[in-house]
Amino acid sequence: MAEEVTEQRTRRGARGGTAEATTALQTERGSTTIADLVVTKVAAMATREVAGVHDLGAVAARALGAITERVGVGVADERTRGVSVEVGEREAAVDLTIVVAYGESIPEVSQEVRENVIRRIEGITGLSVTEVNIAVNDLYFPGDAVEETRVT
Amino acid sequence: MSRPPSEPAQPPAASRPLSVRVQLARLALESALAVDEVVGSDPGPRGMRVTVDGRERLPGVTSIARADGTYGLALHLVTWVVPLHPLADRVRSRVARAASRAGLAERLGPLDITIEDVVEEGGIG
Repeated sequence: MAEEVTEQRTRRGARGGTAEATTALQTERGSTTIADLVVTKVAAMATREVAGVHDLGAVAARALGAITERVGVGVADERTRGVSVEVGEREAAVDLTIVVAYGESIPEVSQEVRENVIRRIEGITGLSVTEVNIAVNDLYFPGDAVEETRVT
Repeated sequence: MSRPPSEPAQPPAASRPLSVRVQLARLALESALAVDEVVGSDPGPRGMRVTVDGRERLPGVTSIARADGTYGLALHLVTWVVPLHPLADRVRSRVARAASRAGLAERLGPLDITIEDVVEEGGIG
Protein backbone atom coordinates (compact mmCIF):
# COMPACT_ATOMS: atom_id res chain seq x y z
CA MET A 1 0.00 0.00 0.00
CA ALA A 2 1.39 3.37 -0.89
CA GLU A 3 0.08 6.81 -0.23
CA GLU A 4 1.44 9.95 -1.72
CA VAL A 5 1.14 12.83 0.68
CA THR A 6 3.15 15.80 -0.26
CA GLU A 7 3.09 18.99 1.71
CA GLN A 8 5.10 22.06 1.24
CA ARG A 9 6.09 24.61 3.81
CA THR A 10 5.37 28.09 2.58
CA ARG A 11 8.45 29.93 1.47
CA ARG A 12 9.59 32.56 3.89
CA GLY A 13 9.23 36.17 2.90
CA ALA A 14 12.27 38.01 1.65
CA ARG A 15 14.34 39.55 4.34
CA GLY A 16 14.44 43.32 4.32
CA GLY A 17 17.19 45.65 5.42
CA THR A 18 20.36 46.88 3.82
CA ALA A 19 23.05 44.57 2.49
CA GLU A 20 25.78 43.84 4.98
CA ALA A 21 29.48 43.80 4.14
CA THR A 22 29.75 40.47 5.91
CA THR A 23 27.26 37.76 6.73
CA ALA A 24 27.19 35.08 9.36
CA LEU A 25 28.89 32.86 6.81
CA GLN A 26 31.51 35.26 5.53
CA THR A 27 33.60 37.36 7.88
CA GLU A 28 36.91 39.14 7.59
CA ARG A 29 38.47 36.20 9.40
CA GLY A 30 37.30 33.83 6.65
CA SER A 31 34.24 31.98 5.43
CA THR A 32 32.49 28.92 6.76
CA THR A 33 31.01 26.58 4.21
CA ILE A 34 28.71 23.66 4.91
CA ALA A 35 28.90 20.83 2.38
CA ASP A 36 25.64 19.51 0.94
CA LEU A 37 26.42 16.11 2.42
CA VAL A 38 26.32 17.62 5.90
CA VAL A 39 22.87 19.10 5.34
CA THR A 40 21.69 15.80 3.89
CA LYS A 41 22.93 13.81 6.85
CA VAL A 42 21.42 16.20 9.38
CA ALA A 43 18.08 16.02 7.57
CA ALA A 44 18.20 12.22 7.56
CA MET A 45 19.09 12.04 11.25
CA ALA A 46 16.34 14.52 12.15
CA THR A 47 13.78 12.52 10.19
CA ARG A 48 14.70 9.23 11.83
CA GLU A 49 14.35 10.84 15.27
CA VAL A 50 10.60 11.25 14.80
CA ALA A 51 8.38 8.51 16.23
CA GLY A 52 6.25 6.95 13.53
CA VAL A 53 8.89 7.17 10.82
CA HIS A 54 9.89 3.61 9.97
CA ASP A 55 12.39 4.27 7.21
CA LEU A 56 13.55 6.63 4.51
CA GLY A 57 13.66 6.08 0.79
CA ALA A 58 11.53 4.75 -2.03
CA VAL A 59 10.53 1.09 -2.19
CA ALA A 60 12.97 0.23 -4.99
CA ALA A 61 15.89 1.94 -3.26
CA ARG A 62 15.24 0.13 0.00
CA ALA A 63 14.90 -3.23 -1.75
CA LEU A 64 18.16 -2.68 -3.59
CA GLY A 65 19.83 -1.68 -0.35
CA ALA A 66 18.59 -4.86 1.36
CA ILE A 67 19.97 -7.03 -1.45
CA THR A 68 23.35 -5.35 -1.69
CA GLU A 69 23.71 -5.41 2.07
CA ARG A 70 22.99 -9.16 2.10
CA VAL A 71 25.64 -9.91 -0.53
CA GLY A 72 28.14 -7.66 1.18
CA VAL A 73 28.21 -4.87 -1.35
CA GLY A 74 27.54 -1.63 0.47
CA VAL A 75 25.30 1.01 -1.05
CA ALA A 76 26.84 4.43 -0.88
CA ASP A 77 25.75 6.00 2.43
CA GLU A 78 22.53 4.23 3.32
CA ARG A 79 21.97 6.83 6.01
CA THR A 80 21.11 9.54 3.47
CA ARG A 81 18.79 7.45 1.30
CA GLY A 82 15.49 9.17 0.70
CA VAL A 83 16.87 12.64 1.30
CA SER A 84 17.58 15.26 -1.32
CA VAL A 85 18.70 18.80 -0.51
CA GLU A 86 19.31 22.01 -2.39
CA VAL A 87 21.71 24.22 -0.55
CA GLY A 88 22.33 27.88 -1.28
CA GLU A 89 24.59 30.32 0.44
CA ARG A 90 22.16 30.91 3.28
CA GLU A 91 19.14 28.72 2.57
CA ALA A 92 18.30 25.11 2.05
CA ALA A 93 15.36 23.16 0.69
CA VAL A 94 14.79 19.53 1.59
CA ASP A 95 12.91 16.72 -0.13
CA LEU A 96 12.18 13.59 1.90
CA THR A 97 10.71 10.23 1.02
CA ILE A 98 9.59 8.35 4.09
CA VAL A 99 7.86 5.18 5.20
CA VAL A 100 5.38 5.64 8.03
CA ALA A 101 4.34 2.94 10.48
CA TYR A 102 0.78 1.78 9.92
CA GLY A 103 -1.62 3.35 12.40
CA GLU A 104 0.23 6.61 12.77
CA SER A 105 -1.39 9.84 11.69
CA ILE A 106 0.42 10.67 8.47
CA PRO A 107 -0.29 14.42 8.67
CA GLU A 108 0.94 14.57 12.25
CA VAL A 109 4.06 12.55 11.55
CA SER A 110 4.79 14.65 8.49
CA GLN A 111 4.43 17.86 10.43
CA GLU A 112 6.67 16.59 13.20
CA VAL A 113 9.27 15.57 10.67
CA ARG A 114 9.11 18.96 9.03
CA GLU A 115 9.51 20.82 12.30
CA ASN A 116 12.35 18.61 13.51
CA VAL A 117 14.23 18.82 10.23
CA ILE A 118 13.96 22.60 10.21
CA ARG A 119 15.02 22.85 13.83
CA ARG A 120 18.06 20.60 13.40
CA ILE A 121 19.30 22.07 10.13
CA GLU A 122 18.91 25.64 11.28
CA GLY A 123 20.48 24.92 14.65
CA ILE A 124 23.45 22.94 13.38
CA THR A 125 24.27 24.54 10.04
CA GLY A 126 22.90 28.06 10.45
CA LEU A 127 21.10 27.73 7.13
CA SER A 128 17.54 28.93 6.81
CA VAL A 129 15.22 26.15 5.63
CA THR A 130 12.77 27.46 3.06
CA GLU A 131 10.85 24.28 2.40
CA VAL A 132 10.59 20.67 3.47
CA ASN A 133 8.70 18.52 0.99
CA ILE A 134 7.64 15.14 2.30
CA ALA A 135 6.46 12.18 0.24
CA VAL A 136 5.03 9.26 2.20
CA ASN A 137 5.33 6.50 -0.35
CA ASP A 138 4.82 3.41 1.76
CA LEU A 139 3.40 2.13 5.00
CA TYR A 140 5.13 -0.29 7.31
CA PHE A 141 3.22 -3.21 8.78
CA PRO A 142 4.79 -5.35 11.52
CA GLY A 143 4.48 -8.39 9.28
CA ASP A 144 6.64 -6.71 6.66
CA ALA A 145 9.75 -7.64 8.66
CA VAL A 146 9.06 -11.34 8.05
CA GLU A 147 8.42 -10.74 4.33
CA GLU A 148 11.70 -8.83 3.94
CA THR A 149 13.73 -11.78 5.23
CA ARG A 150 12.25 -14.02 2.57
CA VAL A 151 13.47 -11.81 -0.25
CA THR A 152 16.18 -13.53 -2.27
CA MET B 1 80.79 11.94 -8.08
CA SER B 2 81.98 14.65 -5.70
CA ARG B 3 80.70 18.21 -5.71
CA PRO B 4 82.90 21.07 -6.95
CA PRO B 5 84.56 22.81 -3.95
CA SER B 6 82.78 26.15 -4.71
CA GLU B 7 79.26 24.70 -4.32
CA PRO B 8 77.98 24.89 -0.75
CA ALA B 9 76.78 21.64 0.71
CA GLN B 10 73.00 21.36 0.93
CA PRO B 11 71.59 20.48 4.33
CA PRO B 12 69.58 17.30 4.38
CA ALA B 13 65.87 17.76 3.71
CA ALA B 14 64.94 16.92 7.27
CA SER B 15 66.87 19.87 8.69
CA ARG B 16 65.77 22.56 6.25
CA PRO B 17 63.55 25.16 7.89
CA LEU B 18 59.89 25.04 7.02
CA SER B 19 58.52 27.84 4.89
CA VAL B 20 56.03 30.22 6.49
CA ARG B 21 53.38 28.75 4.22
CA VAL B 22 53.93 25.26 5.57
CA GLN B 23 54.32 26.44 9.17
CA LEU B 24 50.94 28.15 9.00
CA ALA B 25 49.32 25.14 7.37
CA ARG B 26 50.68 22.82 10.03
CA LEU B 27 49.65 24.95 12.98
CA ALA B 28 46.20 25.46 11.47
CA LEU B 29 45.70 21.73 11.02
CA GLU B 30 47.07 20.85 14.46
CA SER B 31 44.94 23.53 16.11
CA ALA B 32 41.80 22.33 14.35
CA LEU B 33 42.39 18.67 15.22
CA ALA B 34 42.91 19.66 18.85
CA VAL B 35 39.30 20.85 19.06
CA ASP B 36 37.20 18.11 20.66
CA GLU B 37 34.38 18.22 18.16
CA VAL B 38 36.69 17.95 15.14
CA VAL B 39 37.02 14.33 14.12
CA GLY B 40 39.53 14.73 11.31
CA SER B 41 40.48 16.50 8.11
CA ASP B 42 39.36 15.68 4.59
CA PRO B 43 41.87 15.77 1.73
CA GLY B 44 39.11 15.39 -0.83
CA PRO B 45 38.26 12.55 -3.21
CA ARG B 46 41.49 12.98 -5.24
CA GLY B 47 43.66 14.06 -2.35
CA MET B 48 44.16 17.54 -3.75
CA ARG B 49 43.39 19.45 -0.56
CA VAL B 50 46.81 18.99 0.96
CA THR B 51 49.91 20.96 1.79
CA VAL B 52 53.12 19.16 0.92
CA ASP B 53 56.62 20.34 1.67
CA GLY B 54 58.60 17.31 0.64
CA ARG B 55 58.90 15.95 4.12
CA GLU B 56 55.38 15.67 5.24
CA ARG B 57 51.91 15.73 3.88
CA LEU B 58 49.25 17.76 5.66
CA PRO B 59 45.85 16.51 4.49
CA GLY B 60 42.83 18.75 4.49
CA VAL B 61 44.65 22.08 4.63
CA THR B 62 45.89 24.46 1.95
CA SER B 63 47.93 27.61 2.33
CA ILE B 64 48.17 30.16 -0.47
CA ALA B 65 50.24 33.34 -0.61
CA ARG B 66 48.30 36.58 -0.95
CA ALA B 67 49.34 39.91 -2.43
CA ASP B 68 49.44 41.57 0.99
CA GLY B 69 52.11 39.19 2.26
CA THR B 70 49.76 37.05 4.30
CA TYR B 71 48.72 33.48 3.61
CA GLY B 72 45.11 32.48 3.09
CA LEU B 73 44.36 29.16 4.69
CA ALA B 74 41.59 26.68 3.95
CA LEU B 75 40.66 23.83 6.25
CA HIS B 76 38.41 20.93 5.23
CA LEU B 77 37.09 19.19 8.31
CA VAL B 78 34.96 16.29 9.47
CA THR B 79 33.20 17.00 12.75
CA TRP B 80 30.63 15.78 15.22
CA VAL B 81 27.03 16.85 14.71
CA VAL B 82 27.16 20.08 16.71
CA PRO B 83 26.39 23.73 15.86
CA LEU B 84 28.92 24.24 13.11
CA HIS B 85 29.39 27.99 12.88
CA PRO B 86 30.35 28.37 16.54
CA LEU B 87 32.67 25.39 16.07
CA ALA B 88 34.30 27.04 13.07
CA ASP B 89 34.79 30.21 15.10
CA ARG B 90 36.46 28.23 17.87
CA VAL B 91 38.81 26.69 15.34
CA ARG B 92 39.66 30.14 14.01
CA SER B 93 40.38 31.43 17.49
CA ARG B 94 42.68 28.49 18.19
CA VAL B 95 44.53 28.97 14.94
CA ALA B 96 44.94 32.67 15.63
CA ARG B 97 46.37 31.96 19.10
CA ALA B 98 48.73 29.33 17.72
CA ALA B 99 49.93 31.73 15.03
CA SER B 100 50.51 34.39 17.64
CA ARG B 101 52.56 32.03 19.82
CA ALA B 102 54.63 31.08 16.77
CA GLY B 103 55.26 34.71 15.90
CA LEU B 104 53.28 34.37 12.67
CA ALA B 105 50.17 36.36 13.51
CA GLU B 106 50.96 39.03 10.95
CA ARG B 107 51.35 36.45 8.20
CA LEU B 108 48.01 34.80 8.90
CA GLY B 109 45.34 35.79 6.38
CA PRO B 110 41.72 34.69 6.24
CA LEU B 111 40.95 31.14 7.30
CA ASP B 112 38.18 29.52 5.28
CA ILE B 113 36.64 26.46 6.87
CA THR B 114 34.54 23.89 5.05
CA ILE B 115 32.70 21.25 7.01
CA GLU B 116 32.88 18.39 4.52
CA ASP B 117 31.14 15.72 6.58
CA VAL B 118 29.68 15.01 9.99
CA VAL B 119 29.63 11.86 12.05
CA GLU B 120 26.76 10.93 14.31
CA GLU B 121 28.53 9.62 17.39
CA GLY B 122 28.95 13.11 18.73
CA GLY B 123 25.22 13.33 19.14
CA ILE B 124 22.77 16.00 18.15
CA GLY B 125 22.45 18.59 20.90
